[in-house]
Amino acid sequence: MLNKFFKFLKGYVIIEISGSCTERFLNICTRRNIDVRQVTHVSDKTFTAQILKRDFKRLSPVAFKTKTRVKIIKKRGLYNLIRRYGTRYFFMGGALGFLAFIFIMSQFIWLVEINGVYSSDREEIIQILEDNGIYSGALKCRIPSIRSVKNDIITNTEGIAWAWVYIEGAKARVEIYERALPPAVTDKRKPCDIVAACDGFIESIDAQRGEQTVPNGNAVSAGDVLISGTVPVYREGYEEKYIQVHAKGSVRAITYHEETGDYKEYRELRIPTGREKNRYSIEVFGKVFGKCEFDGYENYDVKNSRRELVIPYVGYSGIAVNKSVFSEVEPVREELSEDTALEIAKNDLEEKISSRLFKNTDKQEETVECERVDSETIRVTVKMTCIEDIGIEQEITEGVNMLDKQTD
Amino acid sequence: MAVKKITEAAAGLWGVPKDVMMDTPHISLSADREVYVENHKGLVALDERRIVLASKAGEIVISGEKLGINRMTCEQILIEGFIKSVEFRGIYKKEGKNVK
Repeated sequence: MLNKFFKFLKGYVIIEISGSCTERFLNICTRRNIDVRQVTHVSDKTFTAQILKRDFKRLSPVAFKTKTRVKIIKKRGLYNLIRRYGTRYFFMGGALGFLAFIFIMSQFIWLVEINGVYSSDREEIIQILEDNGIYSGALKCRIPSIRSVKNDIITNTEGIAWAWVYIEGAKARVEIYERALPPAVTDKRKPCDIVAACDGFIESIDAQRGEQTVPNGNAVSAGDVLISGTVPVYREGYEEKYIQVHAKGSVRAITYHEETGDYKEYRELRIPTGREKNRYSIEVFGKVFGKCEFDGYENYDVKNSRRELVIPYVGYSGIAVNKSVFSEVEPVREELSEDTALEIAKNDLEEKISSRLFKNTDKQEETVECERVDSETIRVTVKMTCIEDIGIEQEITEGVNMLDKQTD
Repeated sequence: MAVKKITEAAAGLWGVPKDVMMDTPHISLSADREVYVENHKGLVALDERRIVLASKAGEIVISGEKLGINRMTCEQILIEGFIKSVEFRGIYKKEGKNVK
């Protein structure tokens, strides 16, 4: 690359060598330190080669000695370019004006790209960047130090561990690393009860702290207190009083879950027909020209892509081409057997039930019921019996006839 | 010839590469696209399908398709194209006689 650049600066000529002793011609050239490059065969005893412009005059004695004929085919290089276009003042002025325009426009930010935002508020980050002068159309030299932008993003938003803004030509690339939040820690000093999270039959309660209020085998509803954090204290001759503790224990209960849904005995596939149409729009310094729209097909899928014009060593130039590929598809109905449709329905309903199960769940029993709604629809019901830990903590807000508050 | 034998023995004894001591050609091949020859003694024949170089070890014949010279100096040459074979077609010493 660098060699080519220097060769361009120095200027070179492409010559045609013909004669009976072309090999000898090349050998003598190399011995006389004439840099011969890109020797290619054209026809019998005729070759083309590249030599530097300054070496061309040194070829004539060699050509005379070897009885070969040397002819210039093309002149290349900066000198030649200036000589050809130097007198065309309007062309040169236009070219220089275009370069100046690109240079001036590349001093602005035309695209702000934010990467790594999944759970944080994107709008909030955009607002912070705008407050710091990073927006489409902002002058690059007026952007404050990146470190202060980073501090601003981290301090003013929750859940962001690190951020940085990379200025790549006319593009500001914002990289965000979100914080992996630790699970919420319950305050063990606050008194609480263990209550049922859903309906079920109690199989066993292992109360490690607090008092069991429901015997095994009883039916409970959601919200019923299972292990009470209010524990009675008996003293002979005194009135019964209570202390409050942070109840702890595991509650295993038999729960029933049911989910029903209607499913079709076919599925629709979108088969590409192979016909495609491309639509382009050009984005120049934040303005979009042209629309990537097409309504020639009844059914189609769209695939969008973007190509940015990047200036080497500078970055994004502010000019980009958006391409949308419209691929025509043909909806095809694939018939399913009843067993296949039932299997798909069962998996779907099981997934729905499993999304609302609690921790440490063991599946005990499962039944699948199917009834026909019409000629192409079935109604599937999945019933599942599980043993799961249904106890959840609920803070105690009021206390009656308290003896003392126990911290442990 | 005795000098050549002594030089070769010395190169083997001291562990010096023979191409350095004896000025023999050193050929590097990059897949089937490039041949780089050091210590050549000039171009003998040039063709699209065959390039012949002179060297101390005899003629080096490079055969292939669309052959061309990328760069050439007094001692080094870089040949590009679709290389099929690189062979020596030289005068070898065998049982005290010159065999072509």
